[in-house]
Amino acid sequence: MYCDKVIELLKELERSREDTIPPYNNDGINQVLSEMKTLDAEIIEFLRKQKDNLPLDAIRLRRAAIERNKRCLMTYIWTRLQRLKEMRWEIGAILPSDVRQNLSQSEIEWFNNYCKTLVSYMKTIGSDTGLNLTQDTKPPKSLYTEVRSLVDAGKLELESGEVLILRKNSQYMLSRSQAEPLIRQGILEQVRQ
Amino acid sequence: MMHPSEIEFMAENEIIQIVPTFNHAGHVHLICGSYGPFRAGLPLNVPIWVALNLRQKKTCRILAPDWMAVDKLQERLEEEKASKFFTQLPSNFYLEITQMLLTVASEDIPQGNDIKTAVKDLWDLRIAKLRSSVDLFIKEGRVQASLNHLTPMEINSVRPVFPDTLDALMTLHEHINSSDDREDSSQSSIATPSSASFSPSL
Amino acid sequence: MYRNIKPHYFSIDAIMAAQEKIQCSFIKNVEHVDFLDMTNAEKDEESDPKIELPLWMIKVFIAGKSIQFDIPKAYNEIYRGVLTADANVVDLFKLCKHFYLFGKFLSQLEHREAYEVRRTLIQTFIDRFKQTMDWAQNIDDNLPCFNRLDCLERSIFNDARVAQQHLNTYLTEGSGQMEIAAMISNYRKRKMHESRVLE
Repeated sequence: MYCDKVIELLKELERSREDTIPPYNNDGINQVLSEMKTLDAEIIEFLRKQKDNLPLDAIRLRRAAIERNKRCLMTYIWTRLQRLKEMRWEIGAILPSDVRQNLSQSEIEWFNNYCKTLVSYMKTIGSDTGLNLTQDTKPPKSLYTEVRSLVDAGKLELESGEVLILRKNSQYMLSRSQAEPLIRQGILEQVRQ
Repeated sequence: MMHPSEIEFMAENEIIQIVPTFNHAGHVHLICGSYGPFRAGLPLNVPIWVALNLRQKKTCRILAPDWMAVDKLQERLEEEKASKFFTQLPSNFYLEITQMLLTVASEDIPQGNDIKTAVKDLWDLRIAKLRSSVDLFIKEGRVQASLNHLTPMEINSVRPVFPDTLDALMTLHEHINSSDDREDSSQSSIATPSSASFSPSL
Repeated sequence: MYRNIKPHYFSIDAIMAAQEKIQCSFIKNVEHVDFLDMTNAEKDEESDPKIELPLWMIKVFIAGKSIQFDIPKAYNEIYRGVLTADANVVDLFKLCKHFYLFGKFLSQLEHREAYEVRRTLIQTFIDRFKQTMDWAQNIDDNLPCFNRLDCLERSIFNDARVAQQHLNTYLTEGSGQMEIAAMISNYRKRKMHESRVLE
């Protein structure tokens, strides 16, 4: 039946968790596109062959199927981009490799452009240095915070220029702005007061 | 929806009395106002966030607000129980202020545990009232209601559920008498791509 | 992520709701549609051949006055009676995954029972609202309860659940704590689970 394929695509998305992005189904999308082309060609064929007594129901159904395929394909792409956008705010500009490998070439491009746009916007806020909007999304309580390293993360250059070697289970006092992204990525954890 | 910590942030701007243990003759000029002078042993008004910072450095003692006393809170609780409506509270941030002060300055506040319990009772009572009003509102299919004296944290506790529910109900009520409109597009707030015709060159 | 409860162009729920099948029969012969021709071939044997088509297709044929359809089971008089009697005991998800949205779209088609269907939807939603909220606000393991909600109720339930969790965490642990991104921690949990399954 018409549109079954595109519904399969959306079901793939529905089944996956909202904080993941399943592999981009290029084959599926191509199949839907070719279904749309066939439907379109069939409509044109009807119109060419018969001048009167057109099979109206058949034409209307094909037309509706084309529109629905279009809507579903756009929804497939839109939903994926929403999730991708969410990731930029949650974990930053560097995507985990397993997310990255599930993206299409245009999605990667879109993500890079989104990052660029966001950064250039953030630069324009305030007078000189700009404002990092992804930082301190909840009101900070202090400028410095005590953290524990969960892994041997290696070198970390502090804002002062000092270099710190992060070792598993060691505790450090870091500025909140420096600690926050590392905490979000799960490299450090905040020591509870 | 706001995160509870954002509402707490708003609460931090409320004014409270402290007794500093240091001297600082001038005023401290802040965006939210100028405070000072600080004289050891003499109480003065400052925003809560200043008080908490000084208290953590052990350079002041915090004086609990008048309402933060077991007997006063008990009175409020009785009043709240007796009233069908929400009563006006002495602070719009009673829960957050209690929580912040008891975390940082529990030694400065007598009967801290009892205060905590009383505030929790007051909160629970008011939230129960709020929930039953929301239930009633939905059940009776009302379109308008006025609720006075709710605090920001209390209002936040029914967000985003309440607006979501009203949206859902509106969706179900929409176009109840007409049958010929389009099922699901066009009514949304999200930009709907115009249904431009499909081009075979795709 | 804030979800828009109202159906919109990109809403997967709305698309899936219009994909639900309805039993119908043709009053006019429809030619040049392959999957319909097959059923038309059997027409000689059966007097009243019924087939199931998704709602969006039904709409096309209704526009051409070529079809008549039956109100699906979940919305017929019997079930409307059950829902009116006590909506809270019904496993709505089992009855129809997109009970409210599909019901709404259905009631927008021309049918003599359309108005009653819509009244039932509204009343059912209102009757179940308190129960849904109670489930969402009592943070226990209430997966069995969740499973009985339709998709619309589920999204409201999830929002209520998240808000309640934020509040509970605030009340027990205070604020100012920075935490690992939920995406990353969920990802790790899944990896751990996968590696355990492999062992």
